[in-house]
Amino acid sequence: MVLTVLLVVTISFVVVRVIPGDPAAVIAGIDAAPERVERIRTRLGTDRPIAVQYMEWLGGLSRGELGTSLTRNRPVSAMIAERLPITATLAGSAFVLTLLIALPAGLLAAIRPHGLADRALGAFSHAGLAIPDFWVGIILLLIFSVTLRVLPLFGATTALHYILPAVALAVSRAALLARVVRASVRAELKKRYIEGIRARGVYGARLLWCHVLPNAMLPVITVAAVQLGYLLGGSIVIEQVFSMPGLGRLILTAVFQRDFPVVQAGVMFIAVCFSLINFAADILYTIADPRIRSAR
Amino acid sequence: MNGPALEIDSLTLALAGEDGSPLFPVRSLSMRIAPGELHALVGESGSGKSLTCRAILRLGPNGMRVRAGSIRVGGVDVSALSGRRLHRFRGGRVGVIFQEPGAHLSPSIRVGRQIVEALRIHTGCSRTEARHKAETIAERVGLTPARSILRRYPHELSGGMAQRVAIAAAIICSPELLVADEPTTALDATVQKSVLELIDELRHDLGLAVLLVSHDLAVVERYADSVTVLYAGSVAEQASSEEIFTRPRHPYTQALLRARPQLGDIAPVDTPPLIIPGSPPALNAIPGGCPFHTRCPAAEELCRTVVPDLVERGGDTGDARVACHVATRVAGVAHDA
Amino acid sequence: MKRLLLILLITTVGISQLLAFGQSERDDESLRLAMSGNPDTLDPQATPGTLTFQVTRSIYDTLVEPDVDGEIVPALAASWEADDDATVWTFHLREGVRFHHGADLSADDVVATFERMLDEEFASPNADELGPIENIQAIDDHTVRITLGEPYAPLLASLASSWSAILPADLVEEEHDFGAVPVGTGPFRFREWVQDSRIVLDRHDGYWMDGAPQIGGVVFFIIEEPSVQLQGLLTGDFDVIDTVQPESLDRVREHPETRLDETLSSLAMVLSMNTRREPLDSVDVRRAITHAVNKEQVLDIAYGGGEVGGTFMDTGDVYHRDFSDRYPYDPDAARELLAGADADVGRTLTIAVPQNYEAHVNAGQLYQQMLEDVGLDVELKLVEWSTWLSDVYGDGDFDLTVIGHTGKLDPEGRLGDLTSERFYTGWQNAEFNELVRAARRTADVEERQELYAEALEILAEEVPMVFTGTNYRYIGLRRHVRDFHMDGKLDTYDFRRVHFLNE
Repeated sequence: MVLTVLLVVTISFVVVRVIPGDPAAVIAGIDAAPERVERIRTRLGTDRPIAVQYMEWLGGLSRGELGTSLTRNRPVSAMIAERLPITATLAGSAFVLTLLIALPAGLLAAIRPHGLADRALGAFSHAGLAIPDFWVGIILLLIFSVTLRVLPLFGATTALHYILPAVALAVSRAALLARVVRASVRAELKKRYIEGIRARGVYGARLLWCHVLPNAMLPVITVAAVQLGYLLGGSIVIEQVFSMPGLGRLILTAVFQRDFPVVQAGVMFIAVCFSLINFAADILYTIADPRIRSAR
Repeated sequence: MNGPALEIDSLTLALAGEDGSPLFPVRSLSMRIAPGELHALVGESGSGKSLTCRAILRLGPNGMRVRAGSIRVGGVDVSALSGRRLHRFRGGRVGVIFQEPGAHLSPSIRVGRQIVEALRIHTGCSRTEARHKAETIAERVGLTPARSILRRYPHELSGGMAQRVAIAAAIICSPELLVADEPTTALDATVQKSVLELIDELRHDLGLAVLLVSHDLAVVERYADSVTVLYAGSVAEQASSEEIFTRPRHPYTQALLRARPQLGDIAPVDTPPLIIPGSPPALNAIPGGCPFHTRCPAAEELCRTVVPDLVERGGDTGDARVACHVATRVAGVAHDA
Repeated sequence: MKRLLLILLITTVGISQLLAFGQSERDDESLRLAMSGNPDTLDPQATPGTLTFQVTRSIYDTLVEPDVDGEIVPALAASWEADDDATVWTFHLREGVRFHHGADLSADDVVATFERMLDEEFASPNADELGPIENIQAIDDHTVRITLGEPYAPLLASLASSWSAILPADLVEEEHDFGAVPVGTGPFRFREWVQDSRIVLDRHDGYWMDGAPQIGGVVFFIIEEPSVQLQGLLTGDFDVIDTVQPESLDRVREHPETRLDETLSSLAMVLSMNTRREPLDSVDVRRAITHAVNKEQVLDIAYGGGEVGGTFMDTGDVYHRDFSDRYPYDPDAARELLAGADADVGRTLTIAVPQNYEAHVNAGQLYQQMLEDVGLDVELKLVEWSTWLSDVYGDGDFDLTVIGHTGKLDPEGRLGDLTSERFYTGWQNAEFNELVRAARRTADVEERQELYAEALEILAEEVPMVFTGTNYRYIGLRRHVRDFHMDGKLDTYDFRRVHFLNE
């Protein structure tokens, strides 16, 4: 995991510098003379050899320092720290919501293929996957914040502020995950052990919750873990729509401004998150499926 | 117990064919199994053995229904059961074990829980009680050390152990009938024997009626009290084990017996059990007349046109019947002489 | 089920969030303004960014400032005088001006401010704007003398610009982080800045200007989504919004509680041509391209309306001269010129468009169509802003590009760039350079106007860019906001006279 992160950090370090664009030019703006840009470059230290900058960045990392933002002149760690709670809360509630929608919906649809619930899910997931998150967000804003005026239009200061963005993020993810749940449960229902269990008189909800669902969880965990990872990405757009000062907007702005330390720290942070999510998923695998446990 | 544990009367099962026309995979099947009796159901693949088992448990494939006749377990008409009573019936009054025991156990749940699950949901007994009972029954079926085995997952068990677990789960509610659908086919020879010995012991000790589906005639000869030979969904011959093996009347039974490995051979487990020219007919192409006539060495004109009735075998003792024009005539002639 | 979801969601969000109060409890006396982006910094010397200046203008003052008509009037300097050749400037500071942290304004503050800005190590991107300053010294407590190496007429305009905000000397000495916690003499004092969310300013009670400010404070909400800005204005969540998209203009105009503030911006919208490259090195081809462009249509469709231009100056500037009739929209003339041009006009020309500016992207598409109409082969390439800055603007790697050049209070800010050989269009003209240099050293306004008029005419004839014109800057306002002033030239707000009309 440490290796993965180091690799990602190195790649991000190189890539962000290889692509065109120069933070000094962004800071200098459109009317600055070239000499001026060079002077800013010197102040930022981006004119030094890339290897030197890299070693310095790694050195800082080893002391737990993420460096200083080039455009905002603030410690990157503080910038991330003030935004993390917002994005984490947003992604977390969106994820919980995704599970709360997807599990029952997928299960209901799987029990009676082509039944009412199944067709409803079909329609929901088509719509959910086809409509982009930000569009869902804007529609929700127009309904609940403009027309009905029951929820706030912008910001991230109270719990109420998180409802619409969480829903907007959850819709498409729940649409996908519910399909995965449905497919997985359907596949599980066709397996022979179901017959064995039913032959022992187990039926109905007990059959589903105690036997089918635990066994059907593997693909669900896989997809859910990936989705949790991508929630961080999805929140970039949603944070913008709902004017929430989250991590996504920080990183996005930093990319546009070529604010290297912020981009690097952001990428590293996301890589760590992905690793942690995968790690958690691996643990969940072994809980869900004893065969994986003993295979280790 | 007085009445038969299982009583099947003129059972005809219907399935919807691919083109929608009905198919009859089992026709006019009757059989009775008394408590403590081990009855074997013999036939090639596709002869209707497994469907019969499923019909008893009402676990049929989608679309299968009882077209005619009835199935009673301990006097209860199975087709009249519904809802909760049906679920209680499964696992309560009838237990079942399958060919691949491992595949029929829930992969992510400890076997101890699976053994007592039926008991817990059918009788609502407490967790401690259930655990106690599980240990007792595990020891009874030879799962020792019970405590540690009960804590394992299905994939951690050998085939033989898995089948013992399945047996334990099947009999934990003290059913009247155990349906064993090729329970040892997937096991190797020594394990096969020990599992069969266990089933044999249990039926004697518990007065359990057993319907054993098998195509291993050596097994049938050794353990079965009585035998039904199915061919293409209908009974070819039905008699006590001794009659079948010493005086087979139906040409199909005779062919089966000839084809079986001789005593002392090591039975190749996975090879088809008989070598009769031709293959059994498809469900949608069962020939008119005697279904076996296309492969029968003794077939004559009558066999091609008239379905032979299942009639008492002349000169036999007890409840022995055969469905063959030739055999009936020969027996009749012999009787007359 | 829905209630259950709600409860679960709220639980997830966490009690700490619940305990926090709603959006900064509505202070009815504060003006709530929706701003389209988060400033990088609130240090006016550290960036040329408009977003920064839009906030800092209310926190700081400058020595002099433009009035509503663009005339330079006293601010922190009550008066000033220059010697005859305009190289020595003396400013007499206003008495009794107080910084937000309590210190009184003195000549030392002015000296410290400009020394900081000119510090090579600090590398302010605005340092060059001050011109050839040789020396700044405090004559006494309230008198400052600026000595120039050569006459530099634009000095006063530069001192009136947002980057010349006066900082307190004691904090400059401490290397205070003005970017995060700005301290000035301005009408509003800084309270808090929640990054990407809001900047809150409170009224500075001891402000030097009589009767100003009138409102209790200003809250800048950072709202990137134009539709959210619009809805917030219509619902009353915002008093002012800084972005009104062309398609929403009528809604704001017609809504009973809102109105539209329409000022001519200081932008010169252009389609720049790389005159180093064939066939754009041919003046005939450049004129043909100018003929091909329907400037009015571009302004109306892409930029939401404006005034057609003909040279490199925003049309509202006092130095502007109307040359829009030189090479007007005339596709036939364009085709004729192209046919006769001594250049390879068959090459595919690429228009580089900064993709983060929707208006420029739309304009790029219009330009493409118009140029193709006269037979040129044109393709569009979207580039990211920072790439545009470094590759197109910095390295001059482009054929054609769409951009709006911001104006300065003085024409030097705009035209001086063109005299540099490293300017991205690559166009050079000795006569033009001479005129601009002369104007820089000329203090007399009328004389300067003549010099610039000649220079502008050269541009109008040489057309290194298609000078499309100047757009309107639209601000959406609630009707009860009165005496709101948008300084089109500086693109900043003046909230000092703003007050609310009680409904």
